[in-house]
Amino acid sequence: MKKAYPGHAKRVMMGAWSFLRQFMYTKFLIIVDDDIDARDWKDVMWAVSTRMDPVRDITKIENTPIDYLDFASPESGLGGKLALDATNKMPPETHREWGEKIQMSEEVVNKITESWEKLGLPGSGKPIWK
Amino acid sequence: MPYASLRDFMALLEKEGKLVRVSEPVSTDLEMTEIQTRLLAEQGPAVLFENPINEHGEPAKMPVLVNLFGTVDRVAMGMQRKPEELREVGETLAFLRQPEPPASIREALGMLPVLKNAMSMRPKTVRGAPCQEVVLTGDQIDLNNLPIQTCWPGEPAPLITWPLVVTKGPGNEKADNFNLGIYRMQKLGKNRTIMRWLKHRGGAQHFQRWKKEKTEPLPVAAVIGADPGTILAAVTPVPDTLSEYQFAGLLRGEKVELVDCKTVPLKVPATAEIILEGYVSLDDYEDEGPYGDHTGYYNSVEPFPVFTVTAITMRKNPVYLSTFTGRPPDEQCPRRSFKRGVYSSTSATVPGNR
Repeated sequence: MKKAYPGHAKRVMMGAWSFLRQFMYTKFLIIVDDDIDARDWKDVMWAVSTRMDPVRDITKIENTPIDYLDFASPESGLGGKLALDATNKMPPETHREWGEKIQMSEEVVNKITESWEKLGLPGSGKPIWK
Repeated sequence: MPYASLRDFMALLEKEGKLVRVSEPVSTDLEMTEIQTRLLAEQGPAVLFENPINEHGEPAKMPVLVNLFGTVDRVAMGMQRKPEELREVGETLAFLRQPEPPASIREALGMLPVLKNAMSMRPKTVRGAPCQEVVLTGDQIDLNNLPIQTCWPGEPAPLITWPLVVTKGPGNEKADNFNLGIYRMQKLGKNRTIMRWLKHRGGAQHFQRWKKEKTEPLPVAAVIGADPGTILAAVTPVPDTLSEYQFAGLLRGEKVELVDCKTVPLKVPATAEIILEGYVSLDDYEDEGPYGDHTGYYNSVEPFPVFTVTAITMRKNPVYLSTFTGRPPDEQCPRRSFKRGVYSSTSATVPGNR
């Protein structure tokens, strides 16, 4: 998501669960910023482990509609939902100085890409930066 | 036979194609980090940069070794074990930190070999050591002569990333015995750095106890590049009452040889590459950072005590060991996988963990 204001992630959670009827079968949601690749589990877990507090940033809802095929829910057709807000926090969600992401300079990345062959190192020499 | 030194280990790695030399000039400023991130991502080899260029664009005076323990395979090799045998090391460690006395005589007897091993692995002191072939004191001391890496854009100064920091507590209790820990050191000038030890770490514990009893600064030695057993012992969480030197002996299956430092009352591994001897001030603190860390972000700035170098001792042709920390995977990951082995075998201390 492109977070624009405090609490925005929660609105996305509620939206996702309410948008279409089938969406209410989603038991778990993880909300991440748009610099995170939502289809890359490593990327998502990095956001979870660095951008959220395990108590503050969890949303639990009881007694919501769920597929009766879900035998883990306490009642047939009625169960809980959980969402993790793994977005960067902004005041007043946090009052702490927030972390700045490490990023290698583009100039160095390009220089090493160009010189990889000359260095004589094995491997593809592909940069890890997106 | 355990590896006697870092270069012994390097020779074997090179023979097996697990260490590659780069003769092209490569800058310590960001370029080494960028190369290592790419190698790590594909389980690539260790690299010896034979012609490093320092941050001022001048040729450095010694080669730089990076990505040494970039794969689990090389961590296991450093311990002279196969990757699947790392768990046993963890079990020994779990045993050593076991708080309970043995339940039966039979159990006690079962422990004897390990205990005997641990006791017989006290380091021995030698005279005349390779790490003191060159001794620089006074005006000869200049940290600018070391190819110290700058890992990420925007960092305030080059950072010594992989020193084994040797301390001793003020007294004679077991917990005051030699501790080895890795605490990053921000370069401040020719003979000064910051010593960034977090409060809960062994070095900082010694520092706190020292500060209560003494007024003079704490003697410290930073070892850059040592035999792999000693390096891996230093990164392993061992109980406070066991010196990492002793654990290194246990890991290697042979006592570690130490030598007396030239200007501080400490002992360092005789076959090490470079030693920075000096003192950590009890009251002089400087703001450290921000540096990129394993979280993938820059740390916030925090004050840590200042280390003043009283001597640099080294081999005639030393190798400077370096690495970076950054968002995983970084070089700490294979080491952590070893720790995972340790934690998974802590059944002795965690109820129900089997």
